[in-house]
Amino acid sequence: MYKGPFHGVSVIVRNEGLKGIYRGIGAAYIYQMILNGCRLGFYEPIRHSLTSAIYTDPTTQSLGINIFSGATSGILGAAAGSPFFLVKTRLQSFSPFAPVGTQHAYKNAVDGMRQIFKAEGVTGLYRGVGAAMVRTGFGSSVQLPTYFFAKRRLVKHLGMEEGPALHLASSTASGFVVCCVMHPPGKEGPLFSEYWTLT
Amino acid sequence: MSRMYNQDGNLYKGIFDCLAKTVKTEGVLAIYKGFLPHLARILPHTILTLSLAEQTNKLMRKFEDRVLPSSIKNNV
Repeated sequence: MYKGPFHGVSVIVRNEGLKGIYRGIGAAYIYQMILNGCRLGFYEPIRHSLTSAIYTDPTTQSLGINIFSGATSGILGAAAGSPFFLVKTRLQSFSPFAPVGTQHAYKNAVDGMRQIFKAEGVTGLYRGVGAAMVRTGFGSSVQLPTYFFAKRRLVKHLGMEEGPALHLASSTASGFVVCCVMHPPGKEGPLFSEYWTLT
Repeated sequence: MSRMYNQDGNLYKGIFDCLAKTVKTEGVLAIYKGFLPHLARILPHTILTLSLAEQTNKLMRKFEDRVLPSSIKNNV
């Protein structure tokens, strides 16, 4: 039905208007705020306390500890945000014109969560939490470690200074590595429509 | 994960089972099918998230410098 991302967007806009491509954006915002809040907020505290517990010098950079801290903060975020991810995906997949897969008619995120809770209880809200934790754990295990690693290297070897250019370069490196690591467990499948409805 | 959401019946038991079966039937390269569209999503997202986080941190530090009296700040 959808030949590719751009064709998919144009079909949805033609049939459903702009509203169609922004279905579930409220739930998506809440999910991203929880996930990235945990990712960025828990990383340094976890890393710092583990490093000072194991090494005498708390400024030591240990690859193992950094990866572990990244994965842990991502897993926490994925677990906390899972119900919003679920309801977002179902809101996005819903289409009165071109239904693909199982359809759930929720009015909005709150209504969706209420319906899921009523029908299936808390377990229903946390459907798929294990898979989300694995996927996000993989991605987060390298996101901040790669970012700070790239930043230190760029400063040391290329003499770059703190500022937007350094942030852009380091975050590009981080994004590429995140995608390499997160792709295998997360995006198994050739369906284009899926790339835009999952996460 | 997309394959698991899309499966009819129970072909895959879990993420790692799905990965193992994909490699066995389609080869290692199948794992990276659809990498570019995924990268087109993840890369801008990561760049914006991390760059904006740096800016927010900078603003916070500036704000703290202005608001917190130096006597408190020295103890934090």
